[in-house]
Amino acid sequence: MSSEEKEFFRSSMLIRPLRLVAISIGSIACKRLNQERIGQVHSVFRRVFNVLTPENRLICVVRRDVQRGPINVVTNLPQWISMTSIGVRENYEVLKVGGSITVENDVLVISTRNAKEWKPQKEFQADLLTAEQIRDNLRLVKEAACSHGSFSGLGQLIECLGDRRSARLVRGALNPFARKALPHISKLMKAIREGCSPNIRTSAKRLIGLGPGLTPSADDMLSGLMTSLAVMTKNLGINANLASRANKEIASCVPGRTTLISQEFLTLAADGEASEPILELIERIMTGRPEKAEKAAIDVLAIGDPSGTDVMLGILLGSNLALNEAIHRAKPFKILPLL
Amino acid sequence: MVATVVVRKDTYRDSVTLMKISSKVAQLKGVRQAAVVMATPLNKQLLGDIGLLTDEGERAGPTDLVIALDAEDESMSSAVSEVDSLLSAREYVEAEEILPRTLDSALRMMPDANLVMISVPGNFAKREALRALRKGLNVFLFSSNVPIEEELELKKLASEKDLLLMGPDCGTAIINGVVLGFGNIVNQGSIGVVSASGTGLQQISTLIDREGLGVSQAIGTGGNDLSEKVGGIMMTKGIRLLEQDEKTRAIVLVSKPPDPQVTERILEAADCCKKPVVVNFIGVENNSIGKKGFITATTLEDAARTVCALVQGKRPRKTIFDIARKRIMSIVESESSGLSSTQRYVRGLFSGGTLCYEAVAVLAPLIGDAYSNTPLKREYKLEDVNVSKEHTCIDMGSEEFTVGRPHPMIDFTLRRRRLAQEARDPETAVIMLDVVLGYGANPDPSAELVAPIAEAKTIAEQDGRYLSFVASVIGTAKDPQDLRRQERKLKQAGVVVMPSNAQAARIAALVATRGAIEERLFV
Repeated sequence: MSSEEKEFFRSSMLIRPLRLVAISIGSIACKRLNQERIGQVHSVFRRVFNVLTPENRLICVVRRDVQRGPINVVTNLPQWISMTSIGVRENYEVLKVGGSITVENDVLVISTRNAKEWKPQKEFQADLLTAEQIRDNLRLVKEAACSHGSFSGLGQLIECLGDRRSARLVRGALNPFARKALPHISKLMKAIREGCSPNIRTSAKRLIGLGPGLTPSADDMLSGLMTSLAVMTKNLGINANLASRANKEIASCVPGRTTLISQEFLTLAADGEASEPILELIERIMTGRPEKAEKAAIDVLAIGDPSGTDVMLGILLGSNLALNEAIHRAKPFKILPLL
Repeated sequence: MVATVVVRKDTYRDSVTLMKISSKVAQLKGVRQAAVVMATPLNKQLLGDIGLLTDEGERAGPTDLVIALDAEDESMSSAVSEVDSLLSAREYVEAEEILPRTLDSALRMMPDANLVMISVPGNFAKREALRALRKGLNVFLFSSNVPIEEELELKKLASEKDLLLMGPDCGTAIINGVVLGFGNIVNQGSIGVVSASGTGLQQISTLIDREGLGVSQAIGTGGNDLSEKVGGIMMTKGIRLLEQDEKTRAIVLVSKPPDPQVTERILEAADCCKKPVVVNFIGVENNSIGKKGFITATTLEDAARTVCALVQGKRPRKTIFDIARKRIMSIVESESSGLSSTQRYVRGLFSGGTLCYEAVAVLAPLIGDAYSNTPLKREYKLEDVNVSKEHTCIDMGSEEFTVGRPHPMIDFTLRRRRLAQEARDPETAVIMLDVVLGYGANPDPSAELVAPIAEAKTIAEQDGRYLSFVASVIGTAKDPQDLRRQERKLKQAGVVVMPSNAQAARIAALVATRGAIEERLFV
């Protein structure tokens, strides 16, 4: 962005309002926008500003380069312009006026008239791959994460997924967050498999809010885990209780343990709601050709550092677990190690 | 330890920004540990576990940002104000770097690229390297822990496609004047180097620079290239490429001892080369190679000086020391006069594997074999790398020291600890060090060593002993760290600084023996 452009967007006093167009709105955001006083600006980042509704829930107004999500309002703001430079500030009032969202006395007006509602299909249209093909896709996704991921959060654990020897080897080399999380993730996975609610809650409490980032790494991991569990169990046609019990117990531990933004994403994930790249990756793992799964993995990693990699860890854990469960139901077998 | 926690109430920065701030704060001078996290209960517990939680931090809640610092007393206030300015700088959070995440996206950004540098965990290196080779790109493969079978497969493919595959575990190369990996800023010139050793390449290229000449191309092959399995595929290719390179007038080959059959293959390639080739297989008996008519060098320094002489049309000269014997013996006298009768051994703590190996090779004929994690003879392999025995040289860049830590060229923590340990040993007479400069290395390595050296000397003094320090600095005046400045700092700390690793090993041997090997050495 040139300094001239920057100046233009900063000087909201000169040109008011800045008008943007909403391209797509997530189905949950649609519901939350359906009131005259939408809320207040909670936080402003480069690619997004968050609006806190009176019910203490969030709506994310995002730039064009951010993908669709259940609470996202994707606008036409180009990627070279930062949300922090368009005059929107924390605590500004956000209202619904006619077919538009207005921010603080017309600092910003976003037209929602032609926006499409984004409501992803969680039951896949394409045929599911065989268990072996899904495993191959998971292996590729893991390799992509190891090659292209960010390892300042829990991403370091991806390398030892399914390899106990490797887990032992790297344990000494883990960062403090990954080292602390590792035993609790193992216990959580065991508790989910066994359907043991008290143990799920105990482990979740030892993970929620742990790690670097605005959405702490362990939260991102749990979001990936819950989303993949919900979506995969649904599509594999296996015991829906496995996912619903686990997700319900994890979600019950969230309040007060982490940041507001993270709470929101965890609550959504418990219902299988997540942004487009995450859902697409899960679909590609189960129905797509290997190169498609790998490309979708790269898109998830691009969500952010280290969030994308942490989400990926959760997806790999959840997918493995759901897949093992599906195979187990079809024929008794030895459960493959996850950590 | 001094811990301070800065709490910013209801402060939100996106994860990328928090990571950038965290990494920037951790690099501030005097900061030992730093954590920038949201004050969730578990993060606070973690801060408490590592001793970084104060009362203020304890009171913070999940919507607050905490910056926990463990820093030197005198650095704390400047670190805190730096944190403040980083958090206040809105521009900082707006800066957005667009970095490619895959080879394909990198190629879209730079379609004319013909070389790719790959640094991913070893298990995944083959896949990335295969992709690059299939796209017709030369590869600099920094990754280590790549199975040798995969290395062979990659090198065969590279060879079929007439491409270079430098590595795996290739630390250094200079291609068309561009330094890849750890490397020094050296003159461009007419000497080509093919090296299976990263620090060996650094020592040779910097010594060529100091002779006033320069490097045309320096090709790294990775340490396993000359093994029986790989068969020297890239070293032979390197020789051919340098033969075709118009700028190159003479070539140096550097490696630890290759497999005997591979040695023959390499010598055959060198024999076919129309340009003069200097062979420096460290620790190998040179007579056999020399008898076949090859120009050989015993040390990295000899190799550099020999090839420089060849290019200048001069007669190569063997160097023991750059300064006169009398001056050397006066240094030895001054360094050894304070040694007690128990102090008999040289202890070398190296960041460069080849420098360690070369020191062992130089010391062996003078004072006997040194124990090491990379010994000349198997029976001198240290049982416990953490405990020295008689003469000992340790490669602290080897795997047992680097799992989960930065390389000792960057992080001096382990060397600092080992210095104090060796100082407490009443048998230690001389501690020998290498200090490597250049891209990728610590920004001020001598400064990292000054305090530990003083501490080590004090430990010995309190026990009624004098402890001698000998070092060589591998670098040039053009390196970001500046060779002269680094040497000056070490000299001021009471270290005998020599112009090469080989000369440092020789003077260490002289000091440890109180000059008893003088005649043997100078003859």
